[in-house]
Amino acid sequence: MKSPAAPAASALHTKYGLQPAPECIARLTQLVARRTSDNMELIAKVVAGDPALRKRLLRAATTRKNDPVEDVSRALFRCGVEAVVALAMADPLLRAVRRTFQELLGFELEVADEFSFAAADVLGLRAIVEFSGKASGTVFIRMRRDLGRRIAAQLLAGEPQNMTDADITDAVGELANTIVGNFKSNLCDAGLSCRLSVPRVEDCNTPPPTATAPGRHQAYGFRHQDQPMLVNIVVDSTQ
Amino acid sequence: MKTKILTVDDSRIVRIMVTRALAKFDCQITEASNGEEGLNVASRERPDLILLDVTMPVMDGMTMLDRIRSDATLRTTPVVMLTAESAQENIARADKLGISGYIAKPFKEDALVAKLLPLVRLGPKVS
Repeated sequence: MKSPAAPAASALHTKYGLQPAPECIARLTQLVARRTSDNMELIAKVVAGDPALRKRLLRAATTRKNDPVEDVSRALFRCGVEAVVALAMADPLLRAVRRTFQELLGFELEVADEFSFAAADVLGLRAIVEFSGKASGTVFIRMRRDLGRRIAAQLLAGEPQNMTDADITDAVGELANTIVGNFKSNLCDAGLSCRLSVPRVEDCNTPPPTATAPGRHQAYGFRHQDQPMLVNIVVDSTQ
Repeated sequence: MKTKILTVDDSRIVRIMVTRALAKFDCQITEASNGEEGLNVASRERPDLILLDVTMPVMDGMTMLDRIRSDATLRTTPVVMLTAESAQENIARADKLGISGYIAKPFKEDALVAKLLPLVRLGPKVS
């Protein structure tokens, strides 16, 4: 089976000088269009051809450390087709996180293993954005207040120590709005039209949500310099 | 006469970024935080250009754009979308309503200026 080709820029993208949809959207589109149990074999081939998605699916399917699932078909049978779609949604989300940090803030962001820091390391602030429609769920972005302060200082061209609580809340809210807005646009382009809630930013002193059904809750760790950040996506349903 | 630019965005941060990007130009920036407020300010100020977000409380940007195009006094005002919503369906809808530009967030301030320069007169600020 051929790997999905990078989508060509549409005439409207060209007209307005916008970047074309990323390549990962072609894969998500393919999975969304074929997500029935009749297409299990085809979906297994798509997953097998994408090392990152394959790794995520095998990890989601492994419920006991001493019994790792190493076969895509077995993992697919255990998790279900919808979980694969949910897992494939991570690609546009992660891309939106990296792009927003780089272009909005000029911050380099390293991808870190979510297990390389403890839940207590990302207590402080939490931005929450819900999406609902053909795909429904929630994105959480967690960070320490110090990182929120640095983000506010960068956006407002000020000194971190001069940032007020309102500056930090507004800056992290705009960051979340940009990340999840980009993610939502990619979902729509893949056939999963949805709407977003207005981002909420709140103090957070509780650990991230724990896994529900396999593949439906994913966590991704990042670091900017010494500051950890955790992005969680919980997918409730896709239609 | 100064060029008037209206920024309609519910994010205070974006309004500050736009104002900062245009600070070196001889223009007057007005602000609104949702579509309804934006329509009121636009009717009063008659801006030369409107920068418009999509997702906002009270009235979203697409509804405001639709109202602008039905308003005899505002219908020819150039509108540039400035939004994180860059799905094909959003761009197509805005294009149909006659926009002059579409800037996807995240944006760089110099890229914003580059997109506005062909649309409005932006002379250097006179001290």
